[in-house]
Amino acid sequence: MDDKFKNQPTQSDDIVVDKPKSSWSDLWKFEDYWAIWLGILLLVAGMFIFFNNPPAEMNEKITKANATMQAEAERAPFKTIAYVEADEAKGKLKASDGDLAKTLANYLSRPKGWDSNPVPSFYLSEADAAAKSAAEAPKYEAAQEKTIAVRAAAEEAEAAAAAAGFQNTQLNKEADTAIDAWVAAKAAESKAKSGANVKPYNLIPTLIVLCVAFALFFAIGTRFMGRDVAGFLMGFPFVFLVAIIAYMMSNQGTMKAYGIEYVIWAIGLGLLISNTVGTPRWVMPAVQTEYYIKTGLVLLGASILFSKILLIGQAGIFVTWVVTPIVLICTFWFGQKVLKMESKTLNITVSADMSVSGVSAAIATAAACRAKKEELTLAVGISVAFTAVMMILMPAFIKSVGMHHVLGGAWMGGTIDSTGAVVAAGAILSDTAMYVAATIKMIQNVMIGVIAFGVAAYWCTKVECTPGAKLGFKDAMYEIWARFPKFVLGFIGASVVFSIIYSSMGDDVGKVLVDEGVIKGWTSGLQGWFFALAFASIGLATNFRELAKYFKGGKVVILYVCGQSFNLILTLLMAYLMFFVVFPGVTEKLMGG
Amino acid sequence: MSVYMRTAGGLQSPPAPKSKPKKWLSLLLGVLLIWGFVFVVAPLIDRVPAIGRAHGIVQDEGIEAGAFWYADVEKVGKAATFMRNVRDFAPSGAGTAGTRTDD
Repeated sequence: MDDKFKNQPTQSDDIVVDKPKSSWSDLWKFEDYWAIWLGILLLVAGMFIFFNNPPAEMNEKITKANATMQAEAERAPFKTIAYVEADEAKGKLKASDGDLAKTLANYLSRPKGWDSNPVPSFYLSEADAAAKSAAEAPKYEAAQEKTIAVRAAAEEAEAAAAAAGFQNTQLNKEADTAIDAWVAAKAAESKAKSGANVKPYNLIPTLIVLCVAFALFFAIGTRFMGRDVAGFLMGFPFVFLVAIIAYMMSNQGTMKAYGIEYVIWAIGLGLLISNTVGTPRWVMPAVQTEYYIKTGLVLLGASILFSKILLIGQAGIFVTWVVTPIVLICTFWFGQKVLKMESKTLNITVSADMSVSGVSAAIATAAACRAKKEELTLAVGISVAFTAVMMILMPAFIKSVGMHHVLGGAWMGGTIDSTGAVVAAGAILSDTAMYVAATIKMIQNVMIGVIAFGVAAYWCTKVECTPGAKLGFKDAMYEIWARFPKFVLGFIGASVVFSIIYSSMGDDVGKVLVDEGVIKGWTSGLQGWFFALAFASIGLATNFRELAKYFKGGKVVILYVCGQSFNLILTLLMAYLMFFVVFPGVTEKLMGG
Repeated sequence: MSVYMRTAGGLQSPPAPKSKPKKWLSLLLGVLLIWGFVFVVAPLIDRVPAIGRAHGIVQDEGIEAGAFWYADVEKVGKAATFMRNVRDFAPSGAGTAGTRTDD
């Protein structure tokens, strides 16, 4: 064997490793490429479906709404009723409201919410739907009446303020407060309306269709990769069933409030099966963790839109794009040099999930550095456990010390791992805190593409390279290319293409066709299912004893705690500097918004 | 072929594989533990006032607390709209509205 590749890691079931030699046949034989082809197929289909079916008179409605908002913003020092209505009219424009889009959404439906009886997760009869609607009808009527009354009061207050030429601070404040009350009343009415208009549903037929569709979809690549297609098709329904139950459990009322998501349930249920009765042999051909994860990641790439990093201005960029890489690199260094962790891949996966954005960062980083599935499981488990605690403790702390809500929101957004928990923590405080926290976290989510690429590049140039090998430039480039996880190119490519499309459309149209179209109406649902399949596969293929050995010495928990402590301190410091010292105008605007 | 493990006490045979009934019992136990956590332990923890209050807000607002990607959380879209409006349509008309306060 050529000396250059003497220390080449060998193929194992735990990770995927590319062969050192590349050839054209890799394009249809390799899993990474199939993740790209399948991902591209779905993204192109999504663009075709949603870009060709914009809401009626979309551009005219956007122009009219923007003109109204601009005029009202110049007229009054607060958001007037006309301003709010124009904003809402714009917000109602969604490409996912079309008939075809709604049909697709039906087929991508996940099990629904339930409390003590799991049946409503899949089926609600007409009689039960009618009974639920009837029970909520009085509440809806009351909410409607309240909205009318509150709107009348808001109109009166606004007229009084306008009569004074908006020069009377007290009248302006009263009008602002009255309009806020009207907005809150409308939100309550909307919620009550949903409760009073419950539709019957039956997810069993659509789930069966989805199972068959996904099985055939992934079987295409399975066939070309020379794997057992019949075995895959036979085992797939079992893995899909574990994914369904994972979604069902994550939507149980208490579990949803705790933030125990489908990823944890998929791993947990898979582990339960594999470590008790054992995963049946006929299921194993369908246990394809990397295949599902890589395809899901290519789809995820389409929602990494670079224009979003500018949403909260330069202050947001410093809190996210400066602090996050520093925390990531310092934590990785700490894990290697101080804790002397045995596994670099475990170290970087945990460092990424803690410093960037939790589970999504863990998935992308683990795939980029070819971490073992047990390492990804551990990183996800630790992240979710600490997130559930921080979601409660941080807002309580912020409230108890009287921290400014813009600062508190930025702090939580930059430190709590998962987006949902960040929003929940922000909402516990106030709307402003929630808006800031959510935006900061969204900007961090956008970093995942860069992080994954950076980790992949670092790994194949510094970590996986043959120690002591002296390669010429051409050979070095060849080796880097051979080792580079190719699906990352699809992941980044999807991000770049969609970022360009979004920017060319402009924020308003981009929101309608991309955010509320391709992403929310298509890729988001698909990637969720693919990740559920991936984590179910991890659980079904993992021996609990193998997982337990990574806890040895508690180093991984110490790494997370130390890294997160550093993250908390640095993020708070940077958020304070940016929002109160360097860019105080941003904070003023946010408080007046 | 039998396989032996070297331990502090010398060579020992590995633990016998579980019988089928034991495996199914283990699965059932696992299911019961999950049931216990979901319907007993978690609701008990929710009785701690601060935790119950926080979870109550999450449930009332319909927040997807477990979602890990921004596109899966409805309120992130609202947050982005809020930020765009602050950037592009911040009210700046005559007079002042007074400073908004949050409690």
